[in-house]
Amino acid sequence: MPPKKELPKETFTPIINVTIDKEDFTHAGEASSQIKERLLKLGYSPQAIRRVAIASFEAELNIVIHSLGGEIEAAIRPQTVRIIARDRGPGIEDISKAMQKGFSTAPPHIQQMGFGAGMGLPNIEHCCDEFQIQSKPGEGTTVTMVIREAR
Amino acid sequence: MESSHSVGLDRDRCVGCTTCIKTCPTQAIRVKKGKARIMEDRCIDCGECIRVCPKYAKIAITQPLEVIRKFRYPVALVSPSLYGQFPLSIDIDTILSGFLELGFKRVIEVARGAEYMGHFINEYLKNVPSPRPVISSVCPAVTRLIRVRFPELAEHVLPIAQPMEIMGKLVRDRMNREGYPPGEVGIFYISPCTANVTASRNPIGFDTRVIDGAIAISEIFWPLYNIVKGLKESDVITRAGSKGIRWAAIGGQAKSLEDRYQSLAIDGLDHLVEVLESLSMGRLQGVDFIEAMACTGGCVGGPLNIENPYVAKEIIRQRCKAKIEKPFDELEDTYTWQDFQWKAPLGRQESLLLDSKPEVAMLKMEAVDDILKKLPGMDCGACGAPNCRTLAEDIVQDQADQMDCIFVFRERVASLAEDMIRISRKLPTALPQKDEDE
Repeated sequence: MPPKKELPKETFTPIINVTIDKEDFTHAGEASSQIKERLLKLGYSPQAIRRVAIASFEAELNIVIHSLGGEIEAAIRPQTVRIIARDRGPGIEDISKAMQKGFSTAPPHIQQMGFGAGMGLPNIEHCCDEFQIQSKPGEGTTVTMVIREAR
Repeated sequence: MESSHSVGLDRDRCVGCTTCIKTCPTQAIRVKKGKARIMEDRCIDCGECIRVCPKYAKIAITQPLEVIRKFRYPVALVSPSLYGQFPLSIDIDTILSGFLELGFKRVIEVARGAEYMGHFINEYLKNVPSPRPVISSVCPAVTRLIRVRFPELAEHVLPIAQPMEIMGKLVRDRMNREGYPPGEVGIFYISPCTANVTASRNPIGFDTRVIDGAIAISEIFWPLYNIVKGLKESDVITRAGSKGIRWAAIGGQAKSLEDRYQSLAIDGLDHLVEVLESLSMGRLQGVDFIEAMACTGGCVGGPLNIENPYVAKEIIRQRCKAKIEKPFDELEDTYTWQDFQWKAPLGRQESLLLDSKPEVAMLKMEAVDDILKKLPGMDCGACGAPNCRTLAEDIVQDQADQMDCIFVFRERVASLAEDMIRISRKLPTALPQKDEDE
């Protein structure tokens, strides 16, 4: 065993950082897969793993479908996961509309592929213990998700 | 200590190559001291290593035919994969009759169990509001894979005994009622795969076993064939219809479902892992049922068969072309899926956890990341672990050493060699110095 270290208090050090390209459906899920694998090895409950998997994947998909490209950053602690999904644009015009179930701005060719049903952001919020979304049209969007192990 | 697994090693044949360690779906194999070793808490008995070993060193641990003599009333519980091993010129009744000549007192078809199960799946889908898609419990390698790698999907798994167990229970009950002393009835599953050999000993969802042993199809085929090719009359009439026999190949279960259900039929563990990852992340909405089989082709692709799985699959299809139906009788109609429901939930197997305490697991994970930075990232397998990350984990768990990595080892040797050269050129200043040319 390596020498003991103190876990940093109150700080989240990102240990996963995956870049996501626009419209790259082939690799969508890569970040979520990595996060899930870690949580499995850390002994997270199946329920928490499922919530993280769904929230993280929806966030990845949003970057793929709607943005010019972005990244997923995950910081993992023994009982809390914080995931930040950031993209470079185009930004969300009306956040309250985007949070409505069924509302989607996905272009037709994406909807034909079976994506863009308008449930992404509501699903993410439903899975998270803390959820925050910030966006500026022309600049980009950041979604911050915190999921806790319920004990 | 006797292993509860059905995959073993012929040590004389194993050369310690890296083939099996890389194909294992749970990274359960390591090469230590030149031989492959299976980590028992990770092995799911899928038999993939048996399939890929180039030296035929990986073997299935099954019982020899002679074991049936220990019982006065041995019963053969036959997998429908067997019907795909014989040419079409030999009909199923004849194949089954051959078992009586081999010494079995009764022969029971798992294909009939498959027909019950098809009925149970439809009942379950209709009446139970469990998460969709429901994942079939027919393949024990799949259910074990989910316990180890996808515990978050445990509630999707159909909590019903597989056809082999259904028939095992039924024949045991029936023979008890007919007055046969239980200790003298030996039920032997004729198996296409290692996963079912293990499941016959350690059933998922139940504490007690009903099956006494498993004999590989590969073991029984030639004795059976020699009898069967000369059989003029069949004493046994098959009781299973085409629907049940069809389950021997991938797609069979999906065909037993009512039309309105959407189902996927997936064979091969690597494909299955992709689909399960997808499901885990919230995809596959609208799918009601997943038929998931670890072996390519379905059960006819199991490692204990003798015929090529594609040939066997076609033989099964030909045997089922006539679409023979054998309806349930009055007694059979009384069975419900609850009669065969699991007594215990699937749960999870914590083999992949770094530690049972989350804080310690976190520290170990950070240690793994640190060590990984010092490893070359080639995933070559020379250290005996399937990839660099796994070696890093083994090191943190005190099961391996950084010097097991051949690249780390060489760097150390090079660095030591440089030190040696440097030191060899320096003499203590008190002594006369050598000329630099020498």
